[in-house]
Amino acid sequence: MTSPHERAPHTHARPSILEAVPALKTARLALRPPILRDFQVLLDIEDSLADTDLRSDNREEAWSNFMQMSATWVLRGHGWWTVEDSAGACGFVGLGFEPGDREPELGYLLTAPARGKGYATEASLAARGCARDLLHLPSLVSYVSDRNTASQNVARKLGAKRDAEAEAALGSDTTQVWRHWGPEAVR
Amino acid sequence: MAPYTPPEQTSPDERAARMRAMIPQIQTPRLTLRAPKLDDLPTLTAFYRTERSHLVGGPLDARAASRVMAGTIGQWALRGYGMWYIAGRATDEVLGWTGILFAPGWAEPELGWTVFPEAEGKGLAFEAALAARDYAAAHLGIHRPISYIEPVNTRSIALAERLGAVRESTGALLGKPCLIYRHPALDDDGSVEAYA
Repeated sequence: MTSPHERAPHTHARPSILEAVPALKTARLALRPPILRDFQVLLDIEDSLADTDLRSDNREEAWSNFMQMSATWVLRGHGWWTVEDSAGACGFVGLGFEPGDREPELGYLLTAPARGKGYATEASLAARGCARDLLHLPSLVSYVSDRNTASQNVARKLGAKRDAEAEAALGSDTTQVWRHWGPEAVR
Repeated sequence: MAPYTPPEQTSPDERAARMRAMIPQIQTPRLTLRAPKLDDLPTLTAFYRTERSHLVGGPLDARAASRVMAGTIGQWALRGYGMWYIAGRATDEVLGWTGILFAPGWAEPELGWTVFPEAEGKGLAFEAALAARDYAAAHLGIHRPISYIEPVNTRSIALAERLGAVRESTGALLGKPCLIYRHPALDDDGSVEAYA
């Protein structure tokens, strides 16, 4: 059931700010700016993460996460895309920046049916290429839970390297930092 | 043959500024209503640290305050309307916010306003909320917004009444009881309709 605020805008205002987000294409996927009805995709993903620490506590927090994805573009000039395959929206990939983060993060979220197809790597490569060649982000990492072997594999496939120094600075026992590039590139 | 044009070089900051520029600005005699920006975060965080923020979901830590700002911007990005930050016209210093809010738990779009303690008592909230309400009527198709107000918030009740809003019902928002005020119907030019 959608609550009132999740329905399409009832006004004649045209959301257009995110038109400035670069649209990207890969062999199988399209990366486009998020729109309001993609919120349901995020809720579907969160439902599928019921037993993990990635899940929001409630719909308000999920909404807040969804807002954060779009807001990052307007506040920092990089952010999240909605990922579409031939069947429609199936997840998100992004150059995020959560409050308290030290540098931009490459991350992804896919619906259950979209997993296991190599989409995460394919979408992440496109987003990372944009981060490097168009957005010129000075550094980029992926924060990955030590229990999330799927995402560790994606980071490895992308050629990212564990950054022990950044992990120590983060002070978390369970979060791995995989560095794509940055001021102190990992050797 | 056309001369070679190198690929566009836009820094992330420039790209963000370009997107922010798509959020309309409103000038009033003393104020600018404008998009939030990252430089405003320390002011917002300082406000949310204090007990005075209890009427708008506070007190909050820095991380949560930053989330509030993202919520404000995200709504502009996804709906095409939202809350402006109220800034001093000369100083550009943030004094509060006003505009149209429509988030989880809201039954319909709301005209909201908050002014930080140091800016109270000067009629600034009235000046800002009036301008936002006029803009919503003229450009957003929002003609009779509601305002949710906590019963203890006598300052906001007084402002709603000064804006010509009428108490319509009582309800609850995010688990707290509230009064629901309804603003008068406005023409597109912002004047109260004669035969509403």
